[in-house]
Amino acid sequence: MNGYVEAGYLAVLGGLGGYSALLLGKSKKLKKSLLPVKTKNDRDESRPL
Amino acid sequence: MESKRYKRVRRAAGIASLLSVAVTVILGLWVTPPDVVQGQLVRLIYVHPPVAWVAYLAYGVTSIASILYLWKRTRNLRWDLLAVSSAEVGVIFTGLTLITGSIWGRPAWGVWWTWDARLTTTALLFVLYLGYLALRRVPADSHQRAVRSAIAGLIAFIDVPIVHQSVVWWRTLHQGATVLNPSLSPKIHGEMATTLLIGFISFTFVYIWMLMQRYQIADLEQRVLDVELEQLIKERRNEPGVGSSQIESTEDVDNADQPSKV
Amino acid sequence: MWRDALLVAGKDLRIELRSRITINQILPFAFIVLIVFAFALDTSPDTLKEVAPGLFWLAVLFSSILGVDRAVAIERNDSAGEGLLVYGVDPGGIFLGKAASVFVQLFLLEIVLILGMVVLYGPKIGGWLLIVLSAVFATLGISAAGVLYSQLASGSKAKQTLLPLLLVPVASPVLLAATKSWQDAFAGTSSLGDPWLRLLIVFAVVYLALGSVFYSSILEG
Repeated sequence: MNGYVEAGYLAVLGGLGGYSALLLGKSKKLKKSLLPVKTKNDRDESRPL
Repeated sequence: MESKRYKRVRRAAGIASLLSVAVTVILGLWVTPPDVVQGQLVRLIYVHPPVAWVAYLAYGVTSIASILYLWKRTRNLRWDLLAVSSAEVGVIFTGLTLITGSIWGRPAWGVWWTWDARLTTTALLFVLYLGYLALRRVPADSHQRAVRSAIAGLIAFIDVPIVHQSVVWWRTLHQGATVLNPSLSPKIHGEMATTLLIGFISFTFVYIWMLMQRYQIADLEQRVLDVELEQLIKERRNEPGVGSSQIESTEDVDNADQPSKV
Repeated sequence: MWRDALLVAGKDLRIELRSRITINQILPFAFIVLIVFAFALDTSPDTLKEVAPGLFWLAVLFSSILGVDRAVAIERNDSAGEGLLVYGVDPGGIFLGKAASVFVQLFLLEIVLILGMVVLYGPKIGGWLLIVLSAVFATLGISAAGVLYSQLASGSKAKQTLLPLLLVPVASPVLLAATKSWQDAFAGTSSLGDPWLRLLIVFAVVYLALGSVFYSSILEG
């Protein structure tokens, strides 16, 4: 078209896509870090997870 | 952990936003005709105003959540997590509003930036909420941080009309509004209007999905903090010669930070 | 609340009289800002005359960041702030008192600074009533918003960098309105119905009210 239109759409899609990827990556990492919490010191198993 | 229903709604919002954004892009780039006055440039109208609308929507949600936290009868840390989630998504959308506005302005007005009232207000809004997010990174206990950021969020929102009014006067008292030249604004009809409407809906879906995703992250972060604290307390307990009274007091802190169940 | 405000303002001003931080550090800083602006604009006399009000208010805004930071910081020594609350001083009163103390200091600073502006930039000044009234309300607004934000950001290690980021965008309407109303006054088109003056009054009232209402939550929360 004229370059500007493409740039605008690219900026929006790229920005939103980048932020979404960041969010997905972050939540994956956090979920993983919550899984292996039962370590040798864990004495009460009552904590709901 | 997040409930099944929450997960289902979030997934639905995700799918809806992917599909509707795709439709918006296809309609916006290829199906709709170029405008008589603006030519191809008019295609930017299908993304720029919807993105700006979402930014304002996000800040509105932040303010409502802040009020609900400050009001003692509805006080719950969930509102705080919602406020920060919405503000962060809002900052992303404000940034994109500025970028797309600038890209549109360059061919339409010949400059990347003009001191137009709406542009200037949006730029100040962007900085205001960046400040809000920076304030949230200040370490504090969760209640204190929630109160402080709720107040900051509310002040920022109250400031918006004052900023806007001052900037409007600044631009209009001394020179005519050159930007809002009516002959430049496209006449909207038919499939263009439909596409614009779909644009608004699709970016609202994106907002809902992002908000839910971001909220879940905030909630998980709280949980990780709790688990880590628990871990530390247990290690302390196993150390020889640590009195139980000391442990009681740490547990109080832990309880105060209980995460909200989603 | 009003009595507490007077007490706190008196206390803060006495501290200032003894430490002389505003006179010895903030005032010279404001002057150096005026001077370096002239460097940046290459001292073409006409330009300086034209932008004098804007530079003046920018210098005031920068100085106010230092002033409000100090107003809140003095309560952190030996947890003096908690002491005030324990004595039963009304939190809204503390806020109004601190804002009043900052207001007095900034206003005196402006009086000296305006002389500096006349000497350095040489604008033609007229419309004194509008000048004084806008200065009063602009300074009130900056002081109120400044104390509120300084308290919000207090307790963080990053406070020095956080406060300007929070305060400058919020106070930007004051900067704009005060500059414009002074330009109107200098141009001789001054009338008390100046919309910029009204905006300054609205801003001052809004932030004084917000601060009085929310200060207790910030202190206790």
